[in-house]
Amino acid sequence: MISAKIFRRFLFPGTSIFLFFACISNVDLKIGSENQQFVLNSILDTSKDTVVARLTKTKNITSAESFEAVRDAEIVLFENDKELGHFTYSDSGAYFLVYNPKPGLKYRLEAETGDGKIWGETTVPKETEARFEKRASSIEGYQVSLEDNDDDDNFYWITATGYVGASEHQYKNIACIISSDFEYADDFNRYTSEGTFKFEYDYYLRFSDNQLTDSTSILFRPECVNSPITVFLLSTDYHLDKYMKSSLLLERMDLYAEDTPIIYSPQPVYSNVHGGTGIFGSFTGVSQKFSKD
Amino acid sequence: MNIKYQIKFVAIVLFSLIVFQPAFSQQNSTISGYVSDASSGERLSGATVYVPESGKGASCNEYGFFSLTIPSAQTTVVFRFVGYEPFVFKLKIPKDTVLNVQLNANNTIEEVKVTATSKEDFLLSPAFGMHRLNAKQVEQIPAVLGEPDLLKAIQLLPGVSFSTEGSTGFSVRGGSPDQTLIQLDGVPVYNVNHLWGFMSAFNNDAISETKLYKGSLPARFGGRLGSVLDVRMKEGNLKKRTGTFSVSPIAGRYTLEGPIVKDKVSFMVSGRTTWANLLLSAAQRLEGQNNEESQLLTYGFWDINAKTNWMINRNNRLYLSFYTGRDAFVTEDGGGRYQDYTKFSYNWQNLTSVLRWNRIFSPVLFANFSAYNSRFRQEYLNKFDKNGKDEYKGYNNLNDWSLKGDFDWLPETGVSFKFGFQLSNQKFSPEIISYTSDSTSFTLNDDIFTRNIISEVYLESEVELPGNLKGSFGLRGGNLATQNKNYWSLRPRVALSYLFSEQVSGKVSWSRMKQYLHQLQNTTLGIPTELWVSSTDKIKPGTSDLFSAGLFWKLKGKYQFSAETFYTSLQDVIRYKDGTTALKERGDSWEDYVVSGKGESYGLELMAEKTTGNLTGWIAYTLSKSTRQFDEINFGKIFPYAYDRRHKLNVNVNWFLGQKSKKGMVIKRNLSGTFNFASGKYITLAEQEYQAIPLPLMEGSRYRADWFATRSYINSVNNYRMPDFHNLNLSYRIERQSADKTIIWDFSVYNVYNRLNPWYYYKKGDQMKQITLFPIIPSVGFKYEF
Repeated sequence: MISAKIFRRFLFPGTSIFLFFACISNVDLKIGSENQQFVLNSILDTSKDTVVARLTKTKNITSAESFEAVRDAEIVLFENDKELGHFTYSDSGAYFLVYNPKPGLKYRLEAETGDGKIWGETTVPKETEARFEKRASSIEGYQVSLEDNDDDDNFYWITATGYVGASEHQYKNIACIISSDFEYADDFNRYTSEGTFKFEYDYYLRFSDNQLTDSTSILFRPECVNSPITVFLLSTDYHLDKYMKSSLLLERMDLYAEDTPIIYSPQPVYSNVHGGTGIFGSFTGVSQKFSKD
Repeated sequence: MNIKYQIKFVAIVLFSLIVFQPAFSQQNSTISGYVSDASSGERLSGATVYVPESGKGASCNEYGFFSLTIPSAQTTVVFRFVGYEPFVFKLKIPKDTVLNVQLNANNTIEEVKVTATSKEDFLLSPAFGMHRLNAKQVEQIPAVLGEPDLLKAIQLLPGVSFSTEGSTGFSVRGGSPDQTLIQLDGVPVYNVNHLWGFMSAFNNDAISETKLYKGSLPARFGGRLGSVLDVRMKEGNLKKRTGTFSVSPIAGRYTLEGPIVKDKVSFMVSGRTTWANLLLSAAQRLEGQNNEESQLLTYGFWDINAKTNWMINRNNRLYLSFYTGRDAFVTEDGGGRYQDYTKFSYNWQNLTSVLRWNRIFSPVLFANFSAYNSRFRQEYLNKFDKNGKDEYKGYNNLNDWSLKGDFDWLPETGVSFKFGFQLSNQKFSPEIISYTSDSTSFTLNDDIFTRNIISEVYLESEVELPGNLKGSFGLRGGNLATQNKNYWSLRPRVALSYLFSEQVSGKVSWSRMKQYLHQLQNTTLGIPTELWVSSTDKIKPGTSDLFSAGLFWKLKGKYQFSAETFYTSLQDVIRYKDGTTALKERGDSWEDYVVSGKGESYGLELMAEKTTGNLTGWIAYTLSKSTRQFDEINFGKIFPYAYDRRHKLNVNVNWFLGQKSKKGMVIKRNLSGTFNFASGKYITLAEQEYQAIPLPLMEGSRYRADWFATRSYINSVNNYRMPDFHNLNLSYRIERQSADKTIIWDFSVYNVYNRLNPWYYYKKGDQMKQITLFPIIPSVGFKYEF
């Protein structure tokens, strides 16, 4: 899409004829904390042996204080309605349960806070058959070939991690951009590009399986990360997919709106947590690490 | 789709009526003809003809035509139109007679001000919820930067709410802006904005009269869910050449009209352009930006209205109207030796043209045939190479060709029929994108267009029922044929009025409406990035049911009071999914990113109006509520509609201060003022925020780490109502009138007490900030009439 940046560039100067008269002032909107909510967050990753859940509270948007952690809650994980165990509180609102989630199973996370029960449910996506290869011909990049599972609705996200910075001060980071020409990619985080690939995507390239054939190959190139690079194909559940997409949309809008976000109306970030807000989602992933050569 | 069948049906109906109607009409003596302004020849829509002996009367239709069947004995006939001297004479008509009457404007010192509705419309007609505004009224309403604006003037009426301050975007009785059919000389105008919605596309100097229908919608109107704004251009002075030249701080206008052949053929042409570009250039020069390596911004708009009418003979008259308007915006950045070059241009253009033929088939059968074309095109260009080819280009197109026939059949006094047909061929080409570079070129979406055929007929009848009851019954039906699907519909309209006394009446109505096209809006500002799309095989037409009831009281001939309640139910309205941004480049169809839902609104409107005398104006209050519900928006929960202003109060006063003669000139002075109050606008505002969990593989990432660590907590769309809006606007006007010219100075102050109404909120650091777009703004306007 024509980026929000360009949109902003024409909208702002356009309104500037009237902004000539405009004034900007500080305002106290008298928005209080009377509607404070519990926030339950957890994402199941089938490659991890520990499930982490965080329980905190919302705070007033103009408050400079840190988020209030909820320390004494009882958090329980269920697998296909069978209780797996109670989480242990660590710090800063984080609770842990040693368990490795399984693909294809349904999980329910419940937190009892004393002020009511907060809960969410997710079904972990089945594993995807995929393989990666590095392309070093005329167009450099990585190619992922995947077999879509026809039985389920699948939501795929491609990304990569690598290293940034001088070799002695390197730190690991997610790719800032995924470049690709893939025609079925979701354009919600897309920019047009003048480079080798037609399009660039913020952090992830998302696509669903609506228009895929059983076997699909996608060529992509992660930007601003150095070797060794690990490339990923994530298959997320419905809830995590919506949470990621709504979060990234807002981030993109917020980035381009800068100080005065008049070009968009904010929207609620997706939540599947009942009795509060937050996300309880899951994903399975396929990855491969590629060293320098 | 069976177009042939539909055309045949329409033809049979027309033929039957033309052939058989004389049998009805010959039983009475009928006077018929046109009522027009004596000085210009302009037809007076809404003028009344009245026979005191029988108490019977009739109103002129929108072309100034009347027909009244009266006893053949000697009879007194009175012609009236507010703002004009009544014309009374006695006549005896042994047979059907044609009377073309010219009324003189009332220019006495006790100047009679124009009124919103005549008594007949206001009390007796079953149709209600209609407001009439003429160009002079609009001109006298104080406006931002002194530029009179029709679309801002109608926002002072009850039941009409606005989006943001200073914007032309409006909502009638909780409907979205696209649910009002805005037509100029009977032709839909698809974009009514200049200057990003801060000015309307209607040049007030070219406008004769405007009617807003928002209660009972007559069957002759179709194609929208909520209301009709019927704008009429001046016809052109048939008697003498006249003109105006107007200047405001933001735009200039020039209008010329006159006879080509006196009393037979006339013309009117009016042009307007903005000075915004000069202001922008000056601002950029002041800031030193106008050099090779800085951003350069240009913006301009213009519009042209033109019309000619030809009175071929007593029974035939032709009108040819034309309107076009264009906004163009360009920004260029860089291009110096060390800088990347980018150019972005965006423009939009309306073009309407209509040929109308008024035909009097008999004293009791009047017809108007129209053939029109209305186009709207948005175009944007994103260029990355100053000299070579490296550019994206996109455009949205709407092209509407239509043929209409409207008939007025008045077989006897107290009974009237209107019927007609409409055939439209509409082509929508949304979001066509092409990319061109030195090495490649491709076009997206060029095969994604919709071509629809609309075939509709209508019949409406107004009859006097026993007692003091009067009814209006209508039916509009037809078909929308999309590529693979037909949408048939029948939409009844019923309105009843009951005259409780000579001064008080009550009315009820129900109208079912269909809308075959939709406007997708994805900003809060109501700017022209809005996209017109059609109903398709997948997207159903919208449907609405409008219920209204009201009480009407006319006091001493100059005060009018009304109280109306309404309930509106909307089905199959569409909007963008969350997060859809403007100016897309995607290869998907727009149908992929819209959702369909429903809406509801209800309210109470009170209006008190003084229509004659030195002090005229109105007080309008509206109490209303409007909501929307979409399965995929706001998690399926109902949310307030953005235009929901719970309370709205408008006071509009025009005080004629008097006139005096000096050195052969008449000097008139006038003071106008508006006070406006409205509940704050609904916006979606994050009042709280929460600690977020990192997205997969983002843990430890340094990109926007602070942002990703926090999410805004918004429990519902449109969860926050801004503080109440109010302002006071004043205008002082001096007219110096001599025999052949009038000079008008208009001194106005917008927002006299400098109320800082919020236009937008945003957060910066830990502080919420407010943008106020219109603090106190004085301005001076000048108009020269010759």
